[in-house]
Amino acid sequence: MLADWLRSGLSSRRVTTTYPYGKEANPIHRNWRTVPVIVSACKSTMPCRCGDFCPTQAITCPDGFAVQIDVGSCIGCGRCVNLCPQVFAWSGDVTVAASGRRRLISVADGGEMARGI
Amino acid sequence: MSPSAESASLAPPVQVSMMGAMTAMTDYILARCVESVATDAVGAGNHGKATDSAAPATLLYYDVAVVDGADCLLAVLESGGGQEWLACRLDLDNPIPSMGKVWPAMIWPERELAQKSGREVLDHPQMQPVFQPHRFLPQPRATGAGVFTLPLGPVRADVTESALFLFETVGEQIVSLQPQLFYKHRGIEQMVRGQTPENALLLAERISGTSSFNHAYAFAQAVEQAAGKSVPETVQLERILFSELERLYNHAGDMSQIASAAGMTVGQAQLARIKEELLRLNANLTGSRYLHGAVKLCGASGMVWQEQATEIHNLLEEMNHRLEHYVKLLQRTPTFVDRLVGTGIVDPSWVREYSLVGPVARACGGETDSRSGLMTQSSARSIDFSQLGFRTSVSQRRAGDAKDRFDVRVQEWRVSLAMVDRLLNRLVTEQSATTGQSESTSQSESSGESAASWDVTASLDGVWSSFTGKSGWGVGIAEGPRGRIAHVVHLNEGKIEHYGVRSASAWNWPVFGLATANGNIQTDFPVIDASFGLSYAGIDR
Repeated sequence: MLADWLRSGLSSRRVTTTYPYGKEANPIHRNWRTVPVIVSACKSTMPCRCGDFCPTQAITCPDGFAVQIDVGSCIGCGRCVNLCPQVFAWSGDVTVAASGRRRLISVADGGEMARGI
Repeated sequence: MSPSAESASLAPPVQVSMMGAMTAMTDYILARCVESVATDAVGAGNHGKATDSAAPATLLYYDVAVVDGADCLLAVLESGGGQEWLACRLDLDNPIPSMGKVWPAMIWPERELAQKSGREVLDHPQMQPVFQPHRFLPQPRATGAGVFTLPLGPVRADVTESALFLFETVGEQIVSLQPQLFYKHRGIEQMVRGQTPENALLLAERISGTSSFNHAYAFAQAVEQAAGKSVPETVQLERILFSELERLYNHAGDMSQIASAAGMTVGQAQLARIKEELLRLNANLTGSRYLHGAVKLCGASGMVWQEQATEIHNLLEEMNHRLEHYVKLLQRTPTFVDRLVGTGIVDPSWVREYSLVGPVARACGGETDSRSGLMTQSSARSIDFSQLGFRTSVSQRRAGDAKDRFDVRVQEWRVSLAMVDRLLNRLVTEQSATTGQSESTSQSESSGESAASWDVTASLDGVWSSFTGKSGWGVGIAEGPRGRIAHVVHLNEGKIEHYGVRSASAWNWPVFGLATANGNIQTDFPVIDASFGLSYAGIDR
């Protein structure tokens, strides 16, 4: 019995990956819903109401035009990406970390989140 | 959407029948749910003479709710695919009569009920608050020389959820175990009130991570019934498919936990790998490892199954090959089997006394499964699960121990795989037939939450909902990996007015302490814990 277990355990070899991913990056992560980022500034000429559909109010437009997203409040439901794909897109990055709470807020010019820092 | 694709049997609007007195209502429930199953279970009660010929009913939900503007007791029963909705005004002068004194399954729901309504429950056998657990700690029950009391939790080792277990032991023998839950109570039912169904769905998905899809599935059925909407058969089929995918990864994970509790590290790691592969499959399909967003209210998930079928088939085939190998090894390893046999025995009589559900009930011979003919889903009534390869997996040993709970999960894994196979084939055939007919319409139909389905003018008022103006009651049932999940929704002018959740674990938690104190020693606890596989977040909600 013990021999069976040893054979089964050892025959699977190494299955873990290194971190950070580097060369072993799993390409399927690209399709996963992780955190949305703003890929281009909103071109709308009328004050945007896109904050209305965000269930956690993570998306705000402080002056009516410059949209920003607080990834710290985001639950990844994906409504913004579905409804406004020209502005929002999935970052494709499965690791989310920032050095302070305010740095989780991503704005149109990219910001730390969009640059993947 | 062609009319023929619509489900033919749309459930009629719910009529809540008002009962005159609370005792009449509780007596009726006892007669329908307990006495018609087994008269000996409640002794010589004087209730329930009216329903000699009626089929036994299952109580899906029992709580306080506002019905017609007044605080009421609300109960939802199901028998043979039909629903019964009962309500009775909370009488200011009289306490709520207790069903728990004759039907132990009601003890926990009545404890919640008393605290929520602030009313007394008359002659309740075990009244103790459930909310704010840190304020109302359980008291030791055993007395005498050599009794040792050990509180374990609420913070415990590993990544297990929060609960306090008050053990009382004599030597190694456990003589009593009282689980103290609700440390994870988030008030989801209250948070949902006043929300649109679209936003509420996001909360329903987050009640319990491991049954995320099935909670969303039950919620969707409830809200669709409330709004009088039905979904096409293909949507029902893909919801069942996702439900089975959730069961597969949960069962692999639960088996891994059982192997871990019995000290089988290779088995644990290899089964956990299978769970991880299945979670990644979920993420590839829906973008979410826990199938968030797979349910779209009143619509299809947007999946194109032809493109995914091969990947799913291949992966599941490989996972099945691996799982069967490790299950066979485990079942032939004496140290593993020895830890499980006779551990945490659930007495078969508890199945009806406590209305047990899921693998815990089926492991001691209880044939309860909401996918079987008797309990078909409210908005999936046209689906015959047996044609999808479903059969109820009941333990043949009927010992009700940890070994049986392990074996029932293995059986269910096989059944679910067969169902996924048939469901995929049907979905691929039906989707290719539909896309062949109308390429253009299926595109706009497929994504339930695309820009086209939102009313843009409504959005300017901050209202994003396809349920605007809809009112009614609805109940949704899903057979999650741990058993039956029931959601009750009252929709008023497109907003949710009442929301109730009865998760599978809520039915099974009350016997966990009993099964643990059923001739086991301290070191059996991890095995019992893993073999029950209960969700804390599910009951706490």
